[in-house]
Amino acid sequence: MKKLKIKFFDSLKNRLVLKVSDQQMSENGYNEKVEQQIAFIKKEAVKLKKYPVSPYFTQKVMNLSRTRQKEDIWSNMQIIPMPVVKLAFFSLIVMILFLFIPSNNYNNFQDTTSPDSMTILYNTNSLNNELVSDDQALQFALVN
Amino acid sequence: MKGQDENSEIIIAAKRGDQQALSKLIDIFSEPIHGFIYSVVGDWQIVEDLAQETFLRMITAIKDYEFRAPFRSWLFRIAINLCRDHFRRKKVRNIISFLTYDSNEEELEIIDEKQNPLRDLESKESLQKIEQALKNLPEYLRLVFILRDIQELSYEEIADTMKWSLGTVKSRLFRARKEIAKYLIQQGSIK
Repeated sequence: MKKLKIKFFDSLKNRLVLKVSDQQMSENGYNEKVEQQIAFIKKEAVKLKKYPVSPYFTQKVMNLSRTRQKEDIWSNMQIIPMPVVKLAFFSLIVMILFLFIPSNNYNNFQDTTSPDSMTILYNTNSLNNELVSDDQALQFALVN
Repeated sequence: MKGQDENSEIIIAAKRGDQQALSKLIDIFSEPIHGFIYSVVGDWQIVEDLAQETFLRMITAIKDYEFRAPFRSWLFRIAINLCRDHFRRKKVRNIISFLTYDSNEEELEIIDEKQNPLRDLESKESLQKIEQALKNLPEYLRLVFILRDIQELSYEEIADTMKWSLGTVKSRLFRARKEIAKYLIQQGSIK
């Protein structure tokens, strides 16, 4: 009885071992198959890398880039709204007027003052040379 | 700087605005970029336009490139964004053409498809099947397959381009290959 029991378990064990090895074999076969399929796909897919590029492509891109850079400057100018342009133009004129009008008045003032009044103003008779610039006037004032 | 790029000297010169260096970069990358865009959009008619736009953007943005990612990844990223824009525009166009249907337009497209120069060069059936399989893949699987198996970028470069982790790149690539193999088995191209 004992011998029979042992025989039965042995055969069961063998069957199980066989079954597992069969499964391993098929799994290995499956993996091999998948690997073969992937290798085939990779081999074929690389061929898609080739693409006939025009020999003038680089030149074309460089020319386009230069054209776009030029266009960009003008398009930026066009983007600025007209009221802003008008305001900038107006403020520029005002600034120019502020810069020029006071200097003109000063010149007029210099033209109208007589040499005598200048002499009184500086309270000295050592004013031999005419004071041309503000710096010279300041120097003269400090000295006297 | 992340690793030394083989074209770093040319890139540095191009960053300074050297026209010759810029031309050289276009020469080096024009074929891979054309091939990549063709694989993604599958329409040879717009490949040159998109490639042209990719390089124009490269010229404008190269001064801001800081070698954080490989240059190839950076350039492919520009191309991917342009392809995505193209698909978005195409979607809108399709809706408009659906609303204003014109049968002549469709006829023209079919005639042009027959004149594809790439098909004249590579008329192999298996290539066409792979292209067809690619079209059936979702965008993220298609991009990872094209970048690895067609453009032969490294896993790290793909991770930089797609802003994915290395593990994600590997698992998505495996899925893409599996999907393509499944399609090719269905079509009888492989057993």
